[in-house]
Amino acid sequence: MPHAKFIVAGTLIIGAIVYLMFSGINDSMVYYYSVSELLASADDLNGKGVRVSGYVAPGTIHRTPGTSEVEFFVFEKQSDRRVPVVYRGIIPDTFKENAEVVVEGTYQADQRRFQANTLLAKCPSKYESQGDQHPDDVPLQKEAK
Amino acid sequence: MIELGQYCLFGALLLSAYGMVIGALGGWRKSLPLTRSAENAAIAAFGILVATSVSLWYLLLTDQFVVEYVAQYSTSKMPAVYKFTAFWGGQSGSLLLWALVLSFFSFIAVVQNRHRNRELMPYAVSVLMGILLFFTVLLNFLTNPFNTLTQVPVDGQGLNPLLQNAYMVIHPPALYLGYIGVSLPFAFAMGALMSGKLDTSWIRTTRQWSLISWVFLTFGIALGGMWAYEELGWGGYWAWDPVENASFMPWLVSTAFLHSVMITEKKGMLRTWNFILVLLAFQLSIFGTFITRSGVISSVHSFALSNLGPFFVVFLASTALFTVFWIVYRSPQLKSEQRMKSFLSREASFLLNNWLFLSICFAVFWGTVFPILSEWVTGEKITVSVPFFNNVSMPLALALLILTGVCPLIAWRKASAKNFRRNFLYPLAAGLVTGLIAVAVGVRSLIPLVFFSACGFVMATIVFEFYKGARARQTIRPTGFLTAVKDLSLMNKRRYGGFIIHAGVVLVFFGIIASSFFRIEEEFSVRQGDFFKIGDYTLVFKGLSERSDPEKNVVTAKLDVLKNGAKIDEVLAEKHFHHKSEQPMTEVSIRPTLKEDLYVVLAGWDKGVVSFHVFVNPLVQWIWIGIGIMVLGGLFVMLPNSKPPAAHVSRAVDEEEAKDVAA
Repeated sequence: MPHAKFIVAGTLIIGAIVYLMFSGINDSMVYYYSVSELLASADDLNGKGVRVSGYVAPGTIHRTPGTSEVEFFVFEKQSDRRVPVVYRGIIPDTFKENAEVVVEGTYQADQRRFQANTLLAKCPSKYESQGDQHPDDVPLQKEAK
Repeated sequence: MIELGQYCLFGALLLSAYGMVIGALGGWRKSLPLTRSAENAAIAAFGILVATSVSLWYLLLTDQFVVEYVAQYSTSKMPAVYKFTAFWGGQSGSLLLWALVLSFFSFIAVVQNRHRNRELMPYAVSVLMGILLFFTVLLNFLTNPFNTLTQVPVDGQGLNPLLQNAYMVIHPPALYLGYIGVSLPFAFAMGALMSGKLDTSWIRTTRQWSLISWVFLTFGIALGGMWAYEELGWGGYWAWDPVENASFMPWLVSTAFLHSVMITEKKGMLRTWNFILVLLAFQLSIFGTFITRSGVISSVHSFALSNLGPFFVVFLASTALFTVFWIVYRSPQLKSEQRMKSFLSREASFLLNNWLFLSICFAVFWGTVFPILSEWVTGEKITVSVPFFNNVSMPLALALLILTGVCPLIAWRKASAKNFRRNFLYPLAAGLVTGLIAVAVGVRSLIPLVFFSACGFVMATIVFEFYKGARARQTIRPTGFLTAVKDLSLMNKRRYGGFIIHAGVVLVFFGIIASSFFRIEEEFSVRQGDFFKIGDYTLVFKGLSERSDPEKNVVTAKLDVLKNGAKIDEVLAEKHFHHKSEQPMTEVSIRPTLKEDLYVVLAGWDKGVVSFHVFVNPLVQWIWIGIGIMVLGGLFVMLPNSKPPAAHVSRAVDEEEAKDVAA
C-alpha cells in the first residue's frame, strides 16, 4: 500500500512540526500587557516574559553617562499609572518623551521595576496612524515656521 | 484635478463591476461578444486608473495641500522624487497603486490572450475584475486619496525621513508587483475551475506570471532587509516583524507553487494541490497588503480601530469559500494521472519540499497572528518572540536546504542504490570537506557546522549537475566546456535556471548562518583620540563635527579603522536631525567586505564622551549576492525561447538523465 506509507510519513512530519511549534511557543511566549495590567498582576509575573506598551513619561528619561543604559517611566494614557523601566542597548531614534514605546523583558517584583531587553519606539508613519494623528493636526499657517 | 481623480476612481469601480459580471456571464453563456465586452472593460479600467493615478501624482508634485493625502505625506520642500514616491507613502495611495498595477497586469493578460485560452479567459477576466472591484470599493468609500481638507495647511507633514531613501523608493512597488502578480495565476486557476478546462493550460499560461511575481517578491524582500540593515541601525536585517512576515509568507507559498507545478506538468500529479497553493498564495498576498497597511498586529488592540479590517476579512473569507467550493465541485475530475511510487523518487522529494515550505509558512503565520488569536480566545494578548520563529524555521530550513541538493540527484519514479552511490559520493565528500574547513577556521558549534556542510554539499551537487550535463553534451557535439555549459543551460532554461537560483539560495544560507551565529556586538564610550578594539579592527575616534543644510543638521563622528596596526580606512557615522521631524535619524557607517561588515552606529554624546555601537557582521554581503543570483536565475528562466519546442528538449534531457541512471 504505497498510500499508507505516505500517510504515515506525512503524519510524522506534521507531528514533528506541531511539536516544534508548541515547544517553541512555550519557550518564547510573551504576554502583551498595558501598564495597569502589568501592575495589577505584577507578583505573578516575576521573571516571565512580558511585553508592555505605553508612552514615555516626559522628564523621566535618564541616561547613565558613558554607557548605553537608559532609565525612564512608561505611562498609560487612560490612567496615570506608570512603571519604571531600565534598558541597556541600542536606543532607537524614535525614542523620545511621549513616544509610544513597546518594551519587552521581565518585571522584577523585588525591585519594582521593569528590566527591558528590547525597546521599540513606534515610528509615526511607518505604519498607518490610528486616528490620533488626524490630518487636522497638520500645522496651520500660524504655527508654521 | 481633484474632481477628475474622484470621477475616474468611481469610473474604475463601475468598469470593474461591469467586467466581473459580464465576464462571468460570457463564460456561462459561452458568448464571445459578452466576453469581449468584459475584456474591453478590463482595458478601459486600466486606462481610467492611469488617469486617476496621474491626477494624484499631479496633486503631489504641485503641492496641493488641500488634498488630505498630499498634506499628510508630502511637503513643499521635499525633492521631486520623494513627492513622486509619496504616492505610496500611505494607506490610500498604496491601495491605489495596487489597483493600478492589477489593472495593468489584467490589461497585459487580456492583450496576450486575445486569441488564446478562450475557455479560461471570460472567468479569468471576471475574477481579476472582481479583485479590482474590491480595491476600488475601498478606495472610493473608505480611504479615498482625493479627500479634501476644510482648512488648507500651508505645508504638508511630509514623508517620514526614514522612508526618504532609495530603498523605500523601490521596495514597496517591488513587493507590490510581487503580491499583485500572484493574482494572475489565481485568476487563471479560477478560470480553469469554473470552465472545467482542468488541464495544465492555466499553469502554462501563467508560468511567466508566477515567475515574475516570485522574482519581484524575492527582490522586494531583499530590499526591505537591506533597508532595515542600513537605516534602522540595530545591526540586523530581519526581525520577524509582522510586516516582514507578511512579505515572506506569500514568497514561501509561491516558491512551493513553482515547484509543484513542475510535477503536475511532467507527471500529472498534485493537480488539486496546485489549486490550493495558488489560492493560498493569493490570500497571503492580500493578507500581506492588509497587515502592512493597517498595522493590525504591531499595535496593541488596534484591530477594531482599523476601518479596513472587516472588509479584508470578508474579502478573504469569501474568496476562500468560493475557491474551495469550486475545488470540491471539480474534485472528481482532478484525480492524479499517476500515483506516487516510492519515497526515494524525485516526485516524493518535490512533495516533501512542498510540505516543508508550507510548514514554515504555517509556523510563521501562526506566530504572526498569535497575538490576535490569543486575544480572541483567552482575552489576553500573547505574542511570540523572535526565538520562536528561529527555532521552528531553522530545522525546517535545514531540511529544505539538504533537499535542494538531494532532489536533482534522485531519479524519477524510484531511485536505485546504484543511483545513490553514483550521484551522492562526490557531493557528500564536498560537504564533509566544507565542514572540515569550517572547523579549521574556528567554527566550533554544531548548528553552523551542520549548515555549512549542507551548503557545501548542495553547491557541489549544483556544480556536478552542470559538469555532468556539459560532459554529456560534449559527447554529442564537441565544443569547449564553457560553450557546452552555456548551450546546455539555454536548452533547458527551467532546469538550469533553477540550479542558478539554488546556488543563490546556498549563498543566502551561508550568509544568514554566519551573520546570525558569529556576529560581534559591543558598545564603547570614548573621548576624542581614544581607541577601541573589536574583532580584528582597532578604531580611533578622531572627533565630532557638525554641519547643516536646508533639510537637516548633521552630526558626524569620524573614526580611523586600523587593522594589524596599519590604517586601512576611515569611516563616518552620523546622526541627522531633520527640521521637519523631531526624531533624529542614525546614519550607520557600514564598511562592507566579502569577509565581514564593520558596522558603526553613533549612539550618542554627552560632555565630550561619545558612545558607539559597533558590530562585526560576518558574510552579510553574501546574502545580498545570493539574492542577486536568485533574481538573475529567475530572469534566466524567463528568457524567451529562441527555439520554440521546449517540450522535446526537456524530454531529451530527461532521456539523457535516464540513460545516465541506467548506465
